[in-house]
Amino acid sequence: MDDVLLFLAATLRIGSPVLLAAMGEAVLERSGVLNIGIEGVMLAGAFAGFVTAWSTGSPLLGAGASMLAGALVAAVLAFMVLRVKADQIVSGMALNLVAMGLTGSAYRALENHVRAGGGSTDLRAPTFAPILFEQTALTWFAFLSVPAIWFYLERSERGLELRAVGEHPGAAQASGVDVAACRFKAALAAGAFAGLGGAFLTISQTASFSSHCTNGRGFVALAAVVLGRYSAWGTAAACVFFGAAFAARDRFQASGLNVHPEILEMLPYLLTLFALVFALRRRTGAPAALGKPF
Amino acid sequence: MANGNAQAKSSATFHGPILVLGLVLLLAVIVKLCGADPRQAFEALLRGSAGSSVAWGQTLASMAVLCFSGLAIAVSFRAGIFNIGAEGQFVAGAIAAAALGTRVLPEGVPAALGLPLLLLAGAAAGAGWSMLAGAMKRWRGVSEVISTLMLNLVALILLRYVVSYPFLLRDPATIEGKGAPLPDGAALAGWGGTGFHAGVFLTLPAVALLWLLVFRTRAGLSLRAAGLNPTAAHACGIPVERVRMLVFALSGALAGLGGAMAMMAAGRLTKQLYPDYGYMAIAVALAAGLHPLAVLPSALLFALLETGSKAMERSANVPSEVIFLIEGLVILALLSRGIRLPGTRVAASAAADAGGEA
Repeated sequence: MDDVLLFLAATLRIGSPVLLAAMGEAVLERSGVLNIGIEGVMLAGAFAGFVTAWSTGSPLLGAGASMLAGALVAAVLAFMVLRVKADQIVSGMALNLVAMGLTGSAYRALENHVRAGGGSTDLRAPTFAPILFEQTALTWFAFLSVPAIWFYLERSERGLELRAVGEHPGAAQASGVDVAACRFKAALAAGAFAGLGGAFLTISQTASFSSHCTNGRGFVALAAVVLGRYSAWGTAAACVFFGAAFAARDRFQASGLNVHPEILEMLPYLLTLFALVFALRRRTGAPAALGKPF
Repeated sequence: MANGNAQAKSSATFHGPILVLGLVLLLAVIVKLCGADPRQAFEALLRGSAGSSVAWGQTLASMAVLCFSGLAIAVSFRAGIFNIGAEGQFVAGAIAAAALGTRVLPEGVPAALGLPLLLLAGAAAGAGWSMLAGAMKRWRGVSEVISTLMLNLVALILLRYVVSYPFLLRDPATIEGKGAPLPDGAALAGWGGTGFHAGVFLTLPAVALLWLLVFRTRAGLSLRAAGLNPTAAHACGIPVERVRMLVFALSGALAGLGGAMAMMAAGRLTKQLYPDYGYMAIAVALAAGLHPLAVLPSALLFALLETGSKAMERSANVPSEVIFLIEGLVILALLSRGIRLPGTRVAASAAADAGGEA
């Protein structure tokens, strides 16, 4: 029984950073902007969160800084996409490189100071029940954000506007919605979420930073949004499933079972491809104007 | 959209001079911020990338890798296909060539047979990996951006997988992470103790052939037309879907060939085979204005930076990660200077008049 609970707890823990990033990305993609730079946004959040939490000793300040950093990087993407009207995909790839270079070299400069010592960087919520619910505050926040984002997207007037912008920006504009402003705000929110997801890795999980610490999790979040058909609940379910796949890999590895961890690692990506090809067909739920400049 | 037509011209649009000037300035600022002496850093950069035959060997080997992946990106972006899968296709080519070289070919295979066979295997595997994305797009409407991104991640895990287990491609004699050594007849030996190998020469015909294909043949016209305006191209009788499939194959083959070559130069498959070069190639292709002939100098420029940055880190204490920052900023700057990719203009106009064409 404990084993099951431990596995579930690991699933939630591993799933949370991806979930945070994916929830923001779902909102942004529903507004018609595809953020391939999400990996870089997470990395920026991971870095800012770690440095702030480490230097102030306050994980809460770290979380705030990570959201700011994430929003800032996403704002650059929004500027490129909305103002310059540059290609979304190439701009996003460029942002990944920028974030990798910026955080990597900044961390090198700070490395020696950090090694000298660090404060407490743990951000835990009160424990309600053993194991399963012994999660950090950020995990709680991540999972509680799902119904909130569902409500925003599917039941609120603002959400309706945002979806209209993603489906048919021309019509939305004609009916008085400021398309660029809507997308810009969505980008800021998505950046804050992804930044917080990055901070989860460096503050709650490892209390350290490395230039590859996000390790493709931003791309996993992109996959989760596709697999979840751009809905809040679907995306969350995909994130939990991906969390379970990674948790299973760790447990198999720890138990010495003869299962190759690489197969489990590939699972999220393969499943996303299979779903796109066989299950979803053309009913992918993708907004009609996704990735197109306006 | 006034300057959008710049892309359609066939004249070379290599942004070399501006680029070099911008890079030097940018680098100086970053080095200063790192608290190092810019002059010392530049000296280290040049010494490390072009100061000796060993340095040049390394730079030119990197250039070859960037050139093939850069051509792959340039040709698919030209056709309006956002194949960002050069990274994965490169790895697929390397794995296939290593499998052929260490598992199938006999130990004493002659070089005249081994070298072309391995390169061919790499090109075929890269093309196959890329056509997976092409097929998904053609028959299921799956965006190549998502599919190539996923295929990149799968290929990278696959690479880690095959070099981890002796029953696959790992060399049982070494610690984890290294493939079995290639037979002599299938490896590209470095010249005179440097990283320079005969494969580097292949970049010249590759660049020339690609230029001929894109700008001097009917097929190239179809390719460019499909990128500039698929609806109009279709109306003119160009089989857009088939052209796209061929472009997927061609760009995958180019990246895969580069992967096979890099693996053959290393003498075996390794876990860290030019990581992230598939993404850097986007900067290379954009700086070349997606022009095949300009890809070569562009690749050389980025290869100089890449190899030089390691030396800069050693002797001037400037983190080598700076290179990623510079590449990213170069792409953003080029995008802001009004470089339009064919696909974006098409998407915009198609969305305006037809409600979107995937």
